[in-house]
Amino acid sequence: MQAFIIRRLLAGVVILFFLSIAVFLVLRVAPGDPALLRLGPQATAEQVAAERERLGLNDPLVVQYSRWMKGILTGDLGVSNFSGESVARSIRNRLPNTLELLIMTLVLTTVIGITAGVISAVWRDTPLDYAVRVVAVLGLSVPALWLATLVLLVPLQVWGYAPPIGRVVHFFDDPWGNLRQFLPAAVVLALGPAAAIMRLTRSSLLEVLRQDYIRTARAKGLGERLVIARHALRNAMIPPLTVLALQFSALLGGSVIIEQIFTLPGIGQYFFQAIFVKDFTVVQTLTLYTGVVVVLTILALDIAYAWLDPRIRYR
Amino acid sequence: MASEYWQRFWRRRLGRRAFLRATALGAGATALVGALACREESPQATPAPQAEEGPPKRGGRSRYATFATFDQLDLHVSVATAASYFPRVYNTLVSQSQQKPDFFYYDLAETLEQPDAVTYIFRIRPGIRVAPNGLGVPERELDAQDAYANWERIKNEPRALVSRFAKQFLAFHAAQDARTYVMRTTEPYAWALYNVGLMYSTIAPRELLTNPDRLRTSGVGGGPFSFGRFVEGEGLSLERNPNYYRKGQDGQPLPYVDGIDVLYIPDRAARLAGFQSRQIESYTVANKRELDELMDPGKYYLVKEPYFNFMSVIMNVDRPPFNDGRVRRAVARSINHQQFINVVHLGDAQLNGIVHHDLPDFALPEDELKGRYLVYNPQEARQLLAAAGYPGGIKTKMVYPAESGATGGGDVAQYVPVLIETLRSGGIELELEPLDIGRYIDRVRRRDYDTALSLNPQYETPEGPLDWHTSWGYAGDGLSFHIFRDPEVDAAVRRVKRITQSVQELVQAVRDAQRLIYSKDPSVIPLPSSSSNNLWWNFVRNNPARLGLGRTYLFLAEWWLDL
Repeated sequence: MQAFIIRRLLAGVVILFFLSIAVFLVLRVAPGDPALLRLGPQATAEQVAAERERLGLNDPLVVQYSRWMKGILTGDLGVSNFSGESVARSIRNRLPNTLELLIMTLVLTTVIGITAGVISAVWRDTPLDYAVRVVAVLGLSVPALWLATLVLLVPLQVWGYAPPIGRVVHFFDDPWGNLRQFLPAAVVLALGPAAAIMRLTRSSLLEVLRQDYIRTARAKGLGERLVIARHALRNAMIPPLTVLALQFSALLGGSVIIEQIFTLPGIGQYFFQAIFVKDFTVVQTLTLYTGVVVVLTILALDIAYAWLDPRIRYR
Repeated sequence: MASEYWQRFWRRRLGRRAFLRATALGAGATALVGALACREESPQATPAPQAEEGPPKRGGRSRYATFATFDQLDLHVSVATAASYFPRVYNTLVSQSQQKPDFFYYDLAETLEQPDAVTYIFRIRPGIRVAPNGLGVPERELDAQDAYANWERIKNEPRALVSRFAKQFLAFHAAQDARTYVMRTTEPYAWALYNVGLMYSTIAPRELLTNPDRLRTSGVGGGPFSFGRFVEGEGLSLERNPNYYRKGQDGQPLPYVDGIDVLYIPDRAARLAGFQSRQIESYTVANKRELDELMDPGKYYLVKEPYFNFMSVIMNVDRPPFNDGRVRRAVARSINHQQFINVVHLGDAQLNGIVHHDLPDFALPEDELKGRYLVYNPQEARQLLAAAGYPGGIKTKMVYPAESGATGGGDVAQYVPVLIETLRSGGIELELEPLDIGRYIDRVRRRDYDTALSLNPQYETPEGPLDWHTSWGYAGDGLSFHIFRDPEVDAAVRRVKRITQSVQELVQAVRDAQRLIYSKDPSVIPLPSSSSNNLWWNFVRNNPARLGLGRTYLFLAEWWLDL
């Protein structure tokens, strides 16, 4: 297992190296001068030239790439081309918001998805199963953008209620206010993945429940609750876990739309703004950050597979 | 609960009618006396802000939303949202409203003398003290050396927004003594004072300028507020400056509010939710339909503020067929401006001539535009095309920024179908080429286009719209994405720029220049635009935004909250 982890980490470094080159080149090949975008079309040629010089865009590509990489490897993530703010500081400011949203979303996804999946499998083909499946289909088919707008505007029109908007309410300052701010966003984010997990849990659990060892467990006289919880569910968890892990890596990279709508200044919003103004340093660094998150998540997922199913062995 | 509040509010208002009349009369008299008193010292008077529903209350925090993020707080370099808050923190020498060119707001300068067409002598007001701060800037009075240091920086910092003016026109400037700052321009320049009074040319204490990195995230001045908390991606807070020198109509120190919170809310639905739940004070409606739905005089009042940019159809005169004046006139005659007003703006918009309607003194009268220059006549357009050698009409490619969103009260995507239809009626077929904003700017800057639907830069003065039609272009360096070369137009616009002594003469010259440009079949055709419809909660009183001063109102701190 140890050798497997080291091999995967080394492969991850290679992947990240190529990813860094790809994002670096793509940003520079794409049309649109970041200096001009920052200053606007009315800028004089002299102003544009001064801005390009300040941003280091006149240097050869190799020099620009080396400068960026050297910074990354020495822990200096650089400064935003747009605001001049340290990228590390911006990430540090925003990461807690993204993490809080991520934790709430994952908890909701797991609790709702797995509970509904188990209910649906255990009471298969009953009205309860049909109801859960209908809700799951709705969860999968309703776009998060639309749902988020509804979550924001319907309580406003009906009760005149809106969550705190435009300023982050920190948990330790005002736990209730914090919950009011983050929970609606987390619910919207969780609904789709919870529906997917419900369906995966249901199908996976149904398959496991048909296995011989489940029949044996029941024949031994074990209670149904114990059979489901101890013997069936653990073995049915691999497909839902894959979805959860992918959702984890996606959320850690930030949720652009939801963070925008609920005005939660997280990593997703930062990424979105940076792309819009072609902020090279921020986009490059956040892409690399997302790459690291994905590589590490997939590694952790592989390790979790082995823990869940002892038949899986890595060499 | 809320309805009870407003019922009480209305009852109280009716009960105080007599008192309000007296207050209004008193304030009017005060304004008149103030104006007459100022007249002796300075060539133009600063009118007092409107009196409204006094007496003022102190306290509370104003909360505004911004849909664009802040870049930085450097007062001379910032290009984004932060600039709107520099007038709250720093002082201007004097700010001239472009919407009401007779209105001058004297701030750091208490008087201005213009002994000749190129010399400006600012007498610095005593008693403007720097706000308490933790930046190591002493709470001293601002003086002429501060004005000098700031303009020196503007002149030498290539990224400074006003550096073009400083480099091109600022021939000499000096602090003659602590109370006298003198500027001399290279030649008479009509918008010298406008540049002096911009939010990008406000005056910071000179100690701050020695550390530009500190200016990026903080700052302090002698304005009504000072910067509080600034969190990248979240927003900005401003706190009342207890040293601020101005007093309100009740003789009490301004500002009345304790502070301002500027919240970054990029999503429109979230801004609406924030507004309706009273978390923010004002909201810019998307269009007339939304305005009609939301408007409730028991809760809100409407303030129409100018939009400084609007859409234009631009033809590249370097390429055929648009190097032919007849083709350009055919395009002009094919455009049904009323259709844009009806379809894009749902009736809530006005025609734009070369100078747009939000500069009412300088814009051509609507009747003249309708009767002479913006005439929709597709038959004439086809005849003109035939005369130019295109009897079957023309087909042209049009680039436009697909994602630039709302401008001039409409959305780019809404303009396009109307434009296709109206141009087709005159025999002009459009082939559309939507581009992301980066590519769009890149293409038009290289003048690599036939026609463009252009999101214009901001025009707060008539200078920009006139410059579009000159050989030096909008940016002044001949590299703008549209260049129209006509010696007569160049001469007329140069003439306009040299008028510094009389607002009336300037207004007349700007109008005459527009008529001349129209006679040359211009290649930029502005489309109609609306004003910015901003709803404000009724509890925001004595709101300077209602004065119709354009951005000059940002320097005024007389509002208060009736909470």
